[in-house]
Amino acid sequence: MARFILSRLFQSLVVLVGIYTLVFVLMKLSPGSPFAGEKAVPSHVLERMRSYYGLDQPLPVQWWRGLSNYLFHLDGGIPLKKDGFTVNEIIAESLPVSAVVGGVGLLFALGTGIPLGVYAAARKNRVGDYVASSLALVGICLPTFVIAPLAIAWFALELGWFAPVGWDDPRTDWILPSLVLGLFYMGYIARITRGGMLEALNQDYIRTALSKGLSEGRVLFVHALRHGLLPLVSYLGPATAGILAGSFVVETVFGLPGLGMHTVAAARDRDQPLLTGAIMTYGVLVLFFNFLSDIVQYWMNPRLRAGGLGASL
Amino acid sequence: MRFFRSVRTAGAESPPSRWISGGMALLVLITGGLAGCQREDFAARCARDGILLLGNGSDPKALDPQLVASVGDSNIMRALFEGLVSYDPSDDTKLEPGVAERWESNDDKTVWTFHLRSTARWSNGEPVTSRDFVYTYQRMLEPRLASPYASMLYLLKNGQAYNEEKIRDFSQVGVKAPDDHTLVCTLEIPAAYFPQVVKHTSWLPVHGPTIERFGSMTDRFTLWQRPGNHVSNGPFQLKSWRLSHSVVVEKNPHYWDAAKVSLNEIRFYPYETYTEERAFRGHRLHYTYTLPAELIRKYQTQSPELLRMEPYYGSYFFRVNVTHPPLDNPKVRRALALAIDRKSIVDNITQAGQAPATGFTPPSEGGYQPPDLLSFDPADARALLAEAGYPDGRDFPGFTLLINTSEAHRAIAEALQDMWRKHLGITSIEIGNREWTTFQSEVIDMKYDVARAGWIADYLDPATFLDMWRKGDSNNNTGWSQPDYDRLLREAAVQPTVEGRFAKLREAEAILLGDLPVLPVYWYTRSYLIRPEVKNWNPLLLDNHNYKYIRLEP
Repeated sequence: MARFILSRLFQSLVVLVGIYTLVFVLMKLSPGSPFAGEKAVPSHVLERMRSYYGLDQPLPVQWWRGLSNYLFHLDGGIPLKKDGFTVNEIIAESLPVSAVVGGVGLLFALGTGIPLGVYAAARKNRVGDYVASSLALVGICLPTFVIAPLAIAWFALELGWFAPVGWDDPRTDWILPSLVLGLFYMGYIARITRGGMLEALNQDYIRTALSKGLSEGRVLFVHALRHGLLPLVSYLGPATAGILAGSFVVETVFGLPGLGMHTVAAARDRDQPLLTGAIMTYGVLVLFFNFLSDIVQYWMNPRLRAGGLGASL
Repeated sequence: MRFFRSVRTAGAESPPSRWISGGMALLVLITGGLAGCQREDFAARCARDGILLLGNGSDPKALDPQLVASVGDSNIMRALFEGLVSYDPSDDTKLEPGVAERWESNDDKTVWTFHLRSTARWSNGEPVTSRDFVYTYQRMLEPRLASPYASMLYLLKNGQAYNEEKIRDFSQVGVKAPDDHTLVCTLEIPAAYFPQVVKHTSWLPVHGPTIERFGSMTDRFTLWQRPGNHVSNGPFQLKSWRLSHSVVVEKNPHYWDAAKVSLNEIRFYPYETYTEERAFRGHRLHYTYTLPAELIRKYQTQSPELLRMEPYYGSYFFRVNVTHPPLDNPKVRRALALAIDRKSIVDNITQAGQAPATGFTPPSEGGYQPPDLLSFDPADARALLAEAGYPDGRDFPGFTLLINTSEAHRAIAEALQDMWRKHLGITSIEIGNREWTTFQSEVIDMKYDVARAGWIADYLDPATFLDMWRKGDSNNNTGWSQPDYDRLLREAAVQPTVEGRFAKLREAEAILLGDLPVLPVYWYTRSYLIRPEVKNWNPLLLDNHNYKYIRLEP
């Protein structure tokens, strides 16, 4: 186990360096300057700005300077377009907002998606399946930028249950964005659960369990579910990271101070330090949740367990 | 309303049902009362508490007047800081004394003396002195600070030289403090409009000891901008700053004119367009920074009392790269300009009451009037194009109309494309579309044929529109220059009278409009929503409101 975790840690480090380098290269290749504005800045001032942020250094020096700050100080530096906060501060302030909205959204998605998927699988090719599957499909197909304004128009502006924008009231402000964000994932989770369950229900051990006279409910929820959720668990690794790292659309429409908004703004503004910080955070989340999903799969899947962690993963 | 109806029906019925109705009426009264409490929405409650909720379009880049560049940032700066001269609440052309009680100039308008009021205080209680201004202007021009707006201070003698490191001794720059309450500015050129210029954000003072406490004069990034550390001299002081959330400022008790400040607090929110409009509809804002054009019609019919559309001192135009054939031919440029039906564009596309541009500089009431030289004249346009060698657009080499990604710009670009096809027979024009940052670098590097542009004035004077077309100006970016034009601008600067100066500027602008390195389209308006509680928010050409005078009446 220790060896497994160590090797995973090492792999993660390599991946993170790769991510850092990729963002670095892509930003250097993208056209436009972070310091350009509608009104021109004199060239000697531009020169000074570039040197202030170390952008006049040779590329390998810039690359190493940023990377070593991450490796040895966990320091993302200072953003190019915001003079009041460090990259670390921006992420520390915005990630919790995204994480709350994403976390609740994910719980909602799991709480509705899994039952919906199980139900659809149990009612395969019957009306119940069609209704549940259509519901899931609607969740997937309706883009957030359509659902979010509609939800605000109805629940906030018409009924007045929530504030239409903002992050001020800790009792209510997370509810609507979480539900909107969760709706999309709910659809996916239901479909994946349905697929996994259908496959599980075809297994011989299920037929055996049924023929031995176990109740349908017990077979479905105790024996089949464990097997049926395996595909979902592997999907949830990257999906959780994505949902926690924030959604640009949800954050923009609801006016939330989350990380998703900073990520897109940083890409648009060519703010390399901030974008690198945001992407690295996202990378760490992906690696962590993939790791977690591997552990959970190992725990859920007897066949993997028999082979031992190191061998199977 | 529900309550009254219940009471009325109760009176008409028999005793038992009257009892029931009475009970119901009571219930309705209670619930109605509760609902009544809830009915006082957030914005109304804030209005009662003297808290103004403003949409401000985006996050501030900084809370340091020497580092900010955007319009939204300067809105916050104006609440926190006060310059030598301040903003009149209802008239842009007027000069409202700020830190300076009075000022005067020498006869040729090159030396300006400001007399600072002795009562001006920083938010930590320390007096605001002329040395603070000298410190600030040195910081602004300090090459290592790399302030994006440093060029605003090039008006000061040797300001540019110091910023470009041609001289190292700041005492040679034209700003002096002979005593604590006198500031003398010596200018590079005569500028009768200098008091208008010093209203601008880039001339606002900062508190030197605070800056130095958290770093050096030239550090762009220090903790002095944080709540608790931040020191300012305006009607308000910083209370909190949360990224992508809000900037909150509260009344500054040390402000010299604090008795006049009516608001207790202002909150600036960074919501974007549609989010902002929803926030307004949901009673979370008193004022929106913008209003998307397609929502204007809706407010015009449904709640016109909330909508305002006002002239704004800005010009929407297209830059023409005069080094690219066939656009190097002035006749071609003139033909293109004459074939633009500007009225149709503002009536059918922008629809926010913009004025079709008949010149480049927008007119200002009681101020400068541009020469009226552009009209929609398809016949003349066709003739000019034929003279240039392309009768009916035949053999006209194509060019690309460059825009930054936006539905609104695309609609205008398509209208131009269509007008040039219809009136000139030119069918070979393409629309190129870039996202903002790329667009800007292509314009600066002159890798375009014709590119969209907008120019919003920094201060109320035609110089802010005309200076940029001088040879070598970093905002020119068209490849166009004209010795006569530059000469007229220089002559205008030394005119003893305003009328004389404007006459020279009009002559210069006539040259610009004759040669047309630009295709003006319209003069801006601002459309926004504002709640009736906000008082004294008057139409201003530069949209620089002095928050000291804003009141909230619930």
